[in-house]
Amino acid sequence: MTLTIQVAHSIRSVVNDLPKTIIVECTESKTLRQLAVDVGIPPILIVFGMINGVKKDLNDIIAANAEVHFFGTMSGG
Amino acid sequence: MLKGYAGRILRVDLTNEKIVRQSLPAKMAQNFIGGRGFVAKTLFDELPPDVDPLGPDNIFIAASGPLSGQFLPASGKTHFGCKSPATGGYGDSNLGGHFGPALKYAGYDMMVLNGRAALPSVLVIEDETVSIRPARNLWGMGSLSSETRLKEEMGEDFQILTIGPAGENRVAFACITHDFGRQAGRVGIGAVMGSKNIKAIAVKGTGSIPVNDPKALLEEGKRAYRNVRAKPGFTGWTPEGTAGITDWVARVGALPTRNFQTSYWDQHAKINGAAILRELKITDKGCYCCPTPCGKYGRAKTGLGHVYVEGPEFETISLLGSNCLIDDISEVAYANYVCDELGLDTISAGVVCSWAIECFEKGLLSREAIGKDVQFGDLESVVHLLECIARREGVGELLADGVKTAAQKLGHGSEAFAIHVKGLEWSGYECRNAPGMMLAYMTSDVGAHHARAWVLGHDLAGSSASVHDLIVSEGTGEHLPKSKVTGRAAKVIESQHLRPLFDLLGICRLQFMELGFEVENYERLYEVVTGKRMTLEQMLSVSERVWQLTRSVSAREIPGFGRSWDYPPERLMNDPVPDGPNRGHCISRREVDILLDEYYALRGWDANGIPKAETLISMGLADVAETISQWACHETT
Repeated sequence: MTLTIQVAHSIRSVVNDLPKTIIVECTESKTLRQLAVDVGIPPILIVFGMINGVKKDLNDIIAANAEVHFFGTMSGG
Repeated sequence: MLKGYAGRILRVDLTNEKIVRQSLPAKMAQNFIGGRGFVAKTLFDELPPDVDPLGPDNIFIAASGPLSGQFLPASGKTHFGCKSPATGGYGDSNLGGHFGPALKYAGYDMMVLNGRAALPSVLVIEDETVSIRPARNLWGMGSLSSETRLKEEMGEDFQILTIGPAGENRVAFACITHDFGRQAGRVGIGAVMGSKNIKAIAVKGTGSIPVNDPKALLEEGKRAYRNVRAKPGFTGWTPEGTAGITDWVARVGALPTRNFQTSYWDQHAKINGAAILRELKITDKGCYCCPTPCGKYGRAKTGLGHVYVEGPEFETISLLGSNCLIDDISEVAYANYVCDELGLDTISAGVVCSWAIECFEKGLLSREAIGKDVQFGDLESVVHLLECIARREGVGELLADGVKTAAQKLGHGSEAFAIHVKGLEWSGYECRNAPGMMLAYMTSDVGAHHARAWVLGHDLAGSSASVHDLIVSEGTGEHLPKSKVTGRAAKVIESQHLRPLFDLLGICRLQFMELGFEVENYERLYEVVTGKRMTLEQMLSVSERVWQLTRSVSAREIPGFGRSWDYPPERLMNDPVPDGPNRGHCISRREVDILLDEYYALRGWDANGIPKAETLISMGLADVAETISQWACHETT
């Protein structure tokens, strides 16, 4: 299955050389956490992830051909 | 005529009831852009020597920026400035809402108040009509109640700033409230307003702001709104707002807990963003022209009463929640409401209350001194302390001057766990394994405040040698490795120029910081509004100039100012974190000095943290450099 990953600026500003959009081919189901590790994002830097526009827990399984967003560290108000 | 600016400064001498309007100097707009830049420039140029922060000679400034009040996302920021009663040095604070745009529409980019009104007063600005009216009926009334009363009397078209009893009583962390829940919270700006006998400022503006290219601004504004709303973070971040980071901050071991005794609390999910949506929220609330309403307006039901309140935002959650061990989001919201009505900064209030409770636990403050038994996790204890502080009653007299002064007065080792830098209480991130963020707090120009630089992510990235899954604090017992101390200064400085850039432009940074609205857009927006080209690099250079200037203000104003003023409290240097992801970590005094050495060298400051003349001259601040020999920092304390 193909997964399209959008990486927020807040992560790219911390982890060098990460592109804004990453497309990966997977042969098996993955959680958001596993996918992050696979593409080089320490999960600890992820504040939340979204699968097809819906906020999800990092341990949630990603559906086939989904669009994934990873959001990074943000400060409070 | 300056495009993008109203073009005038309003000066009000409250003592003599004299009102002067002057043109905004083009050079000031060019060299300092607006907002925080105007505040810094005015404080350096106009503060009289040795002025008492709460005396009539301190100055109170409100300033907007060139993008304030424009048809652009989140263009509602207003910046306030004064010599801070919390630190004795440079002070600024800002709020969203609608005040800055209204002031511009009334014809003023900046307002400067001098002197002291003879009686409690309301300053009313209605375009060209400026008046000082008696406010005896409001004195003693809460901030929110005062705003309600004034709106009823004057009409909804007025944008209103108020202070509460805390500001009237000159509490060192009194805030200004606006729009029923937006605060300029920090540095004691509300106390300065109160010291001038100004209970409220009401503005109604019906004019317009000259813009270089209105048609292009309309197009760029539409494009910016579409851009922001299309960001994936728009749907992910907006629903919970800043409270949405609570779980993450706990997960990485940065959540202030029990007066910063530790940095992790397993009850964090009870006071997170989801809890707000589940238990409090009625509706979203946004500021002027904001497409991402991060404010959450709701109703809190507690044993002490039911209240309507905006918030709590993350900083309030961490300082009045985890740091006081309040594990019920409704109770945190109630304490938030009490602070809002009394006119207290929730960050400083949370730190001061938790310090007082720890003092009681340690036997340093007695039941008689406090007026009752107080304990962590008890809303009644917190509310009792807040009421005492705002009215300077009982133990409130000790606490009202801030945690630094209170600890100095109480002694007995309580200074070690008074969590502040320069006299300003620490905001919502515990840093014993975050050296970059620690440095950001240490060198923040107003004291321990997160909004100047925020590099927690870089600290975390630097904590691990390789990319790996750190499932910390989720029952595995794993914890984070110690983060590297060296090489942190450059990133902190970069952040200290970038984040305050939005404070110069008069626009909210959250569109960029949280949603990823590209910073390069602001070059184009600035040009469309002002007709002048300024690259991002040039804007950041102005931001750096302002940073050098704010440091200079503190060095000039504070006797003995220097390196020791940048040190964190003893607890964060000496006491390893007892549990959670950062168990065993702290940043030693030696490591703190390494952080500062690197930082001062990159800043062009001497080993004591004072800007060198050549640095100031290279920043276009030759006039500032000429005064160095007269600065109070050279005095022995």
